[in-house]
Amino acid sequence: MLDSVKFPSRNIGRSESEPSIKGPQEAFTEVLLTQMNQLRRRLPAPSLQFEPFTIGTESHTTVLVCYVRNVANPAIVDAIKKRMGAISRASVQTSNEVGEYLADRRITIFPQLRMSDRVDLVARNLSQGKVAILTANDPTALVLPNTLMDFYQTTQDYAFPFWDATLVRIVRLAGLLVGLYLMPLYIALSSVNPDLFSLKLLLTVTGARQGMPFPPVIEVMIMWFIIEILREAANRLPQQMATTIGTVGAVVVGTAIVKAGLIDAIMIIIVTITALGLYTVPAIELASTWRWLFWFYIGASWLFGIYGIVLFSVVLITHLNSLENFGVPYFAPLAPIRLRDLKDSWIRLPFPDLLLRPRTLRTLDPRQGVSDPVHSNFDLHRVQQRYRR
Amino acid sequence: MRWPSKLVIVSMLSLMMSLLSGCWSDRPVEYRALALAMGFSPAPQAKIRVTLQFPTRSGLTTLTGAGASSGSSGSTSPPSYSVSATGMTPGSALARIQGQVQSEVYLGQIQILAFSPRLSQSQMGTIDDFLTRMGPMDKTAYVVGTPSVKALFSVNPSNGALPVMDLVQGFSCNNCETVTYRQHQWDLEVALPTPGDSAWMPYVTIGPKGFVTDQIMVYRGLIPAEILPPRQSMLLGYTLGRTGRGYVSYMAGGDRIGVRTMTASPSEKATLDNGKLTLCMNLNITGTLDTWTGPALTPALVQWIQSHTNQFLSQQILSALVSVQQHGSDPTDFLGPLIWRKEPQWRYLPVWEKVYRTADVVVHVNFHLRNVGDSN
Repeated sequence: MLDSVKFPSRNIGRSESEPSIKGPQEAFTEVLLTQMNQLRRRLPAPSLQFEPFTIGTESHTTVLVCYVRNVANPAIVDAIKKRMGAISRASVQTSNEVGEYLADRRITIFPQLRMSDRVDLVARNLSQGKVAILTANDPTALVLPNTLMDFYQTTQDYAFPFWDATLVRIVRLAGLLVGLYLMPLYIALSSVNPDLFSLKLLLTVTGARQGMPFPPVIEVMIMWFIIEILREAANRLPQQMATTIGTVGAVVVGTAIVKAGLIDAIMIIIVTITALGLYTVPAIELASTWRWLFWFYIGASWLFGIYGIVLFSVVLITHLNSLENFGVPYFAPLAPIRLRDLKDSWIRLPFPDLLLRPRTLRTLDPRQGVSDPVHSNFDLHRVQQRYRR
Repeated sequence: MRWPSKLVIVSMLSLMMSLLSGCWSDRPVEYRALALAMGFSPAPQAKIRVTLQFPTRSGLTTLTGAGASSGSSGSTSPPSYSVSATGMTPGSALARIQGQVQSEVYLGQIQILAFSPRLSQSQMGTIDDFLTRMGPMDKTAYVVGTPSVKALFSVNPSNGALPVMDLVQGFSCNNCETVTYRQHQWDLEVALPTPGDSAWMPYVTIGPKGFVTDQIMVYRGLIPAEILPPRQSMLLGYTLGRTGRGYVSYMAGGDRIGVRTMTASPSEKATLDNGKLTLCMNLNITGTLDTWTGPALTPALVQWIQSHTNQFLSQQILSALVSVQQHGSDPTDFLGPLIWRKEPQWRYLPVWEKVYRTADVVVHVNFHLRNVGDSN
């Protein structure tokens, strides 16, 4: 008997949630067989395994555990399969419903599973030694185990020269730091620790805040509320209208609110930079994490000033250090320090230098390339000399 | 012994940490009265008058231009105002000032501390003690002496800027000021109460164009020993390494010589011979010939001018050093630790002062003319 069923499906399209300028563009569809085909086309190796599970007493949803047999750590694969086998639900409609069973720590604000509809991203991660979960009727694949750094890497980083990729990653890091710390610092310095301001800056801030009806922390709440409304409205509207609403909303509301004397101009600048900084994270599941933590930082700075910011940073880093996902330290390669893995972290070295797979994954085959065959220009000169004769 | 659970320990630690000083003290800057300068002067009945200078609303908006939009740009309201009160201690005076100001007085951004030379020794001691214990002050404020604190704080620059900003710029720019007579609060707090240690601070007066900072006030103990005139302040500035820039003009052989000094590098040495102390100051000074009313310059004449300038500068600097020596103050503070180490009995202050007052002071100047400027 041959399975000749052809499910109705949409065409393969571009990834909407993770767009890129260069490199592959294709995204998964809802049909599981198509997803398998898409992955198989990118990784035709016979060691690519798909192991099916049927989850959902009513939905009978097929979920595939996908990995490269001679690369992925068997202990991780077995642990995932064991957890998959233990899932018992009436219905599974999205991959996230499966994913939330797989996380090591459920009570953490940090995402442990990378969700992506990009075929090239999933294929790259499989090749690195990770495991992917494909769910029928959902184009979003789950990739695990992950480190925090993984959420800051995109496939576009590998489609550009390494200088560009490194620059973009550093910009993302700067965006994160600015997004998390700029506003709390402003609140701490303007409300709790004005002695740490330089005089000129303090006078500028004090001058700009004269006559403001609300303290800075209330201003942040108002502005952030407006931003979230604009964002949500833009998400719900068609693309063409969303852009217009976003631009008009930001410009009109921003200008009007300053003119009305409700919020000072410096606050508008800081809120804008903060919002932009927090949205530089490529993985959308991590964006909400930072947006939550942003409010913790605001609270800490409002109550305890700079001391609160430092204290909360210590708590946050401690928590990140305590996280593990299938035995993979979440804060690696920074803690524990993995010098080898730093080559492809906040920087990216050229591909000839990325010869080994991430050490944190403890893969069966640590090597993903051989050393650079072209060592120097010396050989080339010798060849040229030969032709001159 | 059974240890409490981790949760209890973490909760207790969090609670304790949240009760640290400074926590829960949220108060936005617009609800604080930012004192930018603090002055101390004597008041009747042996009280201390404390004067605080605050920026006005128009003064605050001079930096942001926010005043322009609110229509106050053309107003003539001064950029700052002062509030003063008296008390037996600076703390009690500050409490009275707080009663006169609507917002909470904030001392964390004090930029200038002004002292009247008429403050008594005990008053200076009280002030020094107050400054040392004052938590919100970060001790980076510049200290100045002034004949009248009230007059100093009532000056408003013609450009509408905050007076404190105008004054602070004179002390805070390392590369744009030729004379760096800056002293910080921390320097003064250490030097003032230390026996045998001399403190000095710039002495700021009011001229037609605003603040004039060309004099030094030298303290001995907790009272001002002398206020050096501008010329001697400049020469002492050479020996302190605070300036190399200056102008010297004198008559020699019936002709006027004007020299603009560019650099000055001092080095000091003390020698002891049979209990007799000799303080030797060596100075390498370079400069340009700015004025010369004599005949056309020749190499021999330039040599002659250099030689004469050497002598002139040596005499002048010697005079300045002897002047402070006669008052028992040692603003250069270059020999104290050395002498005390060699002669332990000099650690007894009266002995040290006596030896210092009778010490021989020798000044060697090595002046080098770099060019002859635009003189004939």
